[in-house]
Amino acid sequence: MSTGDSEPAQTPASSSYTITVNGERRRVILADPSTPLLWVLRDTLRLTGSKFGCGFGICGACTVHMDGEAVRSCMVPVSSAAGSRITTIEGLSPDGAHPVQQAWMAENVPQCGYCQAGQIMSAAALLAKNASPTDEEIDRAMEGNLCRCGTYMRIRRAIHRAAAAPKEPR
Amino acid sequence: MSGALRPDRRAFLKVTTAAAGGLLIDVRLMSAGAMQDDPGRHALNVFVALATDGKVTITVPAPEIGQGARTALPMIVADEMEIPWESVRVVQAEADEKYGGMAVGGSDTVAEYWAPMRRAGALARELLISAAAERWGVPREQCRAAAGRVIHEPTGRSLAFGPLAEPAARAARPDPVPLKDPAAFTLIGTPVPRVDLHEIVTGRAEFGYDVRVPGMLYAMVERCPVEGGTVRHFDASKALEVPGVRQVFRIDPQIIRGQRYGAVRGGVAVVADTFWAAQQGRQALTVDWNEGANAALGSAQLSEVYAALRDEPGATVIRSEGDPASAFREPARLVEAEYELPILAHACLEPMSFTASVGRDSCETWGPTQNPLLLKRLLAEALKLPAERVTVNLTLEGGGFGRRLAYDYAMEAAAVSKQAGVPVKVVWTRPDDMHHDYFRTPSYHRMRAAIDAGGRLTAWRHHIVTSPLFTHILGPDVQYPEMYDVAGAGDFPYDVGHLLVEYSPVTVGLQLGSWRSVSHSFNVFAVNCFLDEIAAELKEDPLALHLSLLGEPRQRQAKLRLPGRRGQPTWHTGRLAAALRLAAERSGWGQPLPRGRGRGIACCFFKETVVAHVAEVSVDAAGRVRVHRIVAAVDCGRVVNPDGVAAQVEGAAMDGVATVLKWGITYRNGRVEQHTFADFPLLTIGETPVIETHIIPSEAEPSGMGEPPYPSVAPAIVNAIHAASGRRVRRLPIEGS
Repeated sequence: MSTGDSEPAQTPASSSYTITVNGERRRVILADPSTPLLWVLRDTLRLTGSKFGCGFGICGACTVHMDGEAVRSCMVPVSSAAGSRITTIEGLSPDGAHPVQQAWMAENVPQCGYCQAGQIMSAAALLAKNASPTDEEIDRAMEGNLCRCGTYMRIRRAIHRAAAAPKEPR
Repeated sequence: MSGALRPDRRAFLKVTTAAAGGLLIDVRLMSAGAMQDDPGRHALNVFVALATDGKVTITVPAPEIGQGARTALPMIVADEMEIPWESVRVVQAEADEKYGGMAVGGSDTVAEYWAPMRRAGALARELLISAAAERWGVPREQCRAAAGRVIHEPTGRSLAFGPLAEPAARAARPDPVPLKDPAAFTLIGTPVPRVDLHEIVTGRAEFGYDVRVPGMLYAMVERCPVEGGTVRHFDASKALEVPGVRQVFRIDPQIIRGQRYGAVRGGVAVVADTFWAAQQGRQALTVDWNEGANAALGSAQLSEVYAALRDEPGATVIRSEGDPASAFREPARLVEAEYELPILAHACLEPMSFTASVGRDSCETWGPTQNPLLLKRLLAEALKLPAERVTVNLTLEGGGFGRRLAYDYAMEAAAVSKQAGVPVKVVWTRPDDMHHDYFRTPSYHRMRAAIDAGGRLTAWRHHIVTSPLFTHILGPDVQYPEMYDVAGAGDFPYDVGHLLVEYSPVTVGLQLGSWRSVSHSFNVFAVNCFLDEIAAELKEDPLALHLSLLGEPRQRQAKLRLPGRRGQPTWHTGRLAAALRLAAERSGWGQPLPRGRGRGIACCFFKETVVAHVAEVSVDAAGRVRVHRIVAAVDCGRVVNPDGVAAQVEGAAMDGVATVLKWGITYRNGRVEQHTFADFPLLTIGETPVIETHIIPSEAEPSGMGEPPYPSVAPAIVNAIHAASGRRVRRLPIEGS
């Protein structure tokens, strides 16, 4: 698959990695096996929904799902992501239909919006495991997603709203 | 944010200033550019275009930093234009004087654009009425507009706006263009959800960091860790070996006409195919620096400097009333306190970045800035291009808080692109962002109050010590260096017979700048904490003291030794009292709390907006503070979007909690000692108090809510800590300090 509009020099050290992203198998060729998954998503695959806030795994803006778990993609080297199934914010639902996304809109959560993709991914992962979390469980699950604008009250309300939403029949 | 930028804005705006002090933008101007390319869309004025299918494109002139500009401003247009909200599409204006001031700073956006947005909507509506009346052959006075249609009242027939777009665009501008009776507003005053919600929750929203243009490369700049340092020598050989690295070169420092907000610091640029290659290349650089004079400075010296100033008179008297010298000579009682507030970083969640494509005779840029017009103007000067050849396109912004009022990172991107010969996106890492901020000044406050034998406050002295912000904007030779450092203290709103507000400057070896509410962020803290200490000394309820000192409800004005409007602050004591009373009532002020729990109160006015806060905290046996609840009462004139107001109160409350508990920047040998959120922590969801917003209804002109709800939060919390534990906090932050 394409690696982007400027093809890096094919050196003996380049390797190929196959990751399934949002249901599609993607093969990327990268010189550096320590390239974080976040930058493979953003630069190689042009999926810029996952954000860069710190690069140290502290802020959570880069949160994606890897084999169903919420992970900080800025801390996952591409070599570790090879063979995994990755879901990014773009793949969470067709066009915003996920209950968490719907709840986020109903509660008018975002201010600047930069942290929100990561917040939504962490919330979705929480609700996939715990359909009815308490405030304490929400706080624990979400404490790695920082918001500079202070939208936390609304985030908590939105998670409760999503938890209470009628479940789609499978 | 600092009003320092106002003179520049007025200087190049091609508008007239209305007698009331507002800005008149000529909404007759037809918009150019993209609108002309779309035959189905018709520009009705510079802000509004109507498509034949009824969709209305509103061009928002103010950038969105999370403050809600992209929602509030279109709401005003849509209400006057009488269109359903669902028919609105919002586009962001590129930097152009025809859109007005455009800068988002000073919490002025809704206030400044209130009248122009109303006129834009009203003009569009009136043109449509003219077009319909002409089509029907009836007098336009018999027609009115509602819900996206023009209605002929006598017959009840109506026409949808869409099919009228083309004749409306050609119609003569009616005179006058009436504005709606505010009683008829349908959108203004309602909690319309954010315009960009769907894009944000689906990951499609574009921030500066997301920009990609054809042929673009990434760049990172290695900058001297000491402000003002320069490259002595660098070795790029290892960097150039990193796969994906394309170029490595020196960038020279640059300041245009002393405008420090647009300064390029210089350093070594690494240009590469990807973010990761740029980062790896940068890490492989070796750079020697001439660190310069700031390498001798650090936080430790500040304490010594303050100690030397403690008992000295201020260098400048800002305000003097009565006879403070004699009032303090032999008071019955003297109350004294000193407060010390730290340097603060902005810590926007989106680190700085900007994308620039500089060619031989043009420059196109994309990214987040709080001052599009000033950036465009300085780019043109730096690149020696006419302004028409420079474009600044705005993205969404992952936080502003005043950081993006400085456009250093954008000027830097242009410098890198020019030298690289390709479009580049210069990206800052989190440590870059933390080290090369335009920090909030540290401050020291020496307070003194005289109490007479009857237990009344008779004299107040406030000596403010900061590094003068104006010198960090335009250099050391400005005429009134203290211009932006005294609001919140010089305009002390209480009745005290003898008053002295003084100022002394100190030197800080970092670049300082505008930080949410600027000098209110530290002065309001000192004033409200010291009033609380005086109340305790007098054994008075703090709320009662505030109210008695505000005196009769009336408009007041003070005379400060500053030019222009900053020299003549005005306030209304009754509005402050009303906010205090409402916050007190809604917080249960005066009702008993369990041991270890307490409430504190504070208030301030910021331009026309008045805010009061009550905080409720608990302090445990180990002295740990937990903030449980923050109750805000706000008076910001007529409210456009009450949910937007609540959002600003919530965010500012969180900033206030972090200010008390966590935030402080230190530096040593010129180097900032904090690097990531590990050492400048943001609050987590579990640390969020309950935050309540109570809006005082008003029909006054809308005033700001970006900065006003911040300053009184921290002192309310600190006063609550005293109520809960008896402990006086005089230095921030309290955790890990």
